[in-house]
Amino acid sequence: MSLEFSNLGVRFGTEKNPFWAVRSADLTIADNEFVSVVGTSGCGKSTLLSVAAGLQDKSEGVALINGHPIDGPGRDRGVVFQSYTLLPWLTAAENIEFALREVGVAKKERKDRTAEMLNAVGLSAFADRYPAELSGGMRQRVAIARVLSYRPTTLLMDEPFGALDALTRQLMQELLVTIWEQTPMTVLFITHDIHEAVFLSDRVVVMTNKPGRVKAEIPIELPRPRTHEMVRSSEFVALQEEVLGHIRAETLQVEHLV
Amino acid sequence: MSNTLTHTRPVAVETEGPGKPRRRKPAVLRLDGTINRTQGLVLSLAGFALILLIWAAVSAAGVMNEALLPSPAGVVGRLGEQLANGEIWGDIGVSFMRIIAAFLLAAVMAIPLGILMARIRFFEALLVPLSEFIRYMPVVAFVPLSIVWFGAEESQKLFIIWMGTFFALVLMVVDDVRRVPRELVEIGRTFGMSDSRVLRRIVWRGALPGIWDSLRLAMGWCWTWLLVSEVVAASSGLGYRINLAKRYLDTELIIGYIIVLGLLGLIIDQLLRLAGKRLFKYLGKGRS
Repeated sequence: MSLEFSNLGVRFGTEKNPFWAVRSADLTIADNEFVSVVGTSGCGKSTLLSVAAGLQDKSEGVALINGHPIDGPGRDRGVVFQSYTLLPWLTAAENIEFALREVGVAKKERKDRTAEMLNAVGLSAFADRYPAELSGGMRQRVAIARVLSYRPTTLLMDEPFGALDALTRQLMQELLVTIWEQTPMTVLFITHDIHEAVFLSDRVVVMTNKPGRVKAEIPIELPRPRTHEMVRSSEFVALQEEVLGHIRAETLQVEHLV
Repeated sequence: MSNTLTHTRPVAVETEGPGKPRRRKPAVLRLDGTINRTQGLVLSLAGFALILLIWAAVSAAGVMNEALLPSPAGVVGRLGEQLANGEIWGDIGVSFMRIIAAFLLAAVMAIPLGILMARIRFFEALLVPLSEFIRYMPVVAFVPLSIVWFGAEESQKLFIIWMGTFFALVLMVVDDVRRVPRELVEIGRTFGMSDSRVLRRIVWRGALPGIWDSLRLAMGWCWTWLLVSEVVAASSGLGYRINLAKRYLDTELIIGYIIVLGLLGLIIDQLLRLAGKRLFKYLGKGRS
């Protein structure tokens, strides 16, 4: 499925004292394309994702999914957040079954799909653990298994690995990229980690701050499948530098370092 | 003076020397220290024993008239009589039924309303300021009115206990429900769940551990309002018996019943705490 935003604006605050989280944002994501949006904190990138998910109403402009206006959340778009993603009173398996039930998967199919997805993220042995008994990385793996279990055509991820330690994050990126390369989907991936964005994406979009709009788009023409050996290649480093170049001036300004 | 100095100096050097560890306070006395089971039990019992000892000493010394301050033995004896003649069971039974009825009424109203008030702006604006206002009206001031309205009937007790519990409880439920992370609600919506389904299957369930704790607190308030209502107008129950005993200066029974009230409150609270611990085991450690 394709996603399309044009002249998108999201306003918070009052009529008199408006605050535009996103304004005049234009972005198109093609079917089965993996696009990351990077930007400084508060640049409205998460708001953009909320609009795509149908969780946040836009104030102006156009937001389309497959050419149709986005009108509320839908089962075609799966979302993964940074934290509080699992229902704490349900085990890993029950969390997946809960989602499958709510999206309307037949009862006899739920068990099989749950087992299959837990296996895909390597957590079969942890099916009966509660979220409190899982590590942060495991929790996000269950969240990914859960969202993939009902086969959405678009995946919306809001800094899904942002709360993980560096090593776990790297492993999660490899897991995600492998899954995506096997079964392509349209992905909108929000992050502030440039390395992560370059590693995963077909295209990296840089957003500016206040109001958030699209400043630059950098195509990532690294070969697939992506491996972690690539990150030391000169191409990878050059791409990372290019993205950083767009974002650096902005960050200095936001952090009052200039 | 100089003698003291020469005496203390080497000691100070010694304690800070590398080989010999500095003497530390025992863990039970340290800031955020630790305690083992035996120490905990002994200290808890010591607290009770201390009060009992002071009480026994004061009454034995005869500083206060025995009719006003009976001895611990006298109180225990009087409670024994009440147990033997069975009166106390009737008193506890009547009071307990009143508490349960009023508590359930308050809870059954406060939980759904609290959920709506916490998450739907319409109900928040309509009912939160109102509840906050009523909560600050002293419930005791409603007691005369309750007698005018309901007489000394059961409904009068129900009204006072409910009044003292519901408005504070509903606001606590609101807080508990607000603490359910927004992300969980949004995840539910992405599954295509309707608002009412999200409220029932995610928000209510997610707030339940917090609501459970609020209910425990509310149960404690119920005892207070029960006694208030029973002392002023009742012909049965623990509060009635205490009020009756006042007429005969039966302080042994008054103090005995006060202790029984404390014990009943403690037992119910501990039962609820243990039930909560079992129900919400999934939250892992860090929850007592």
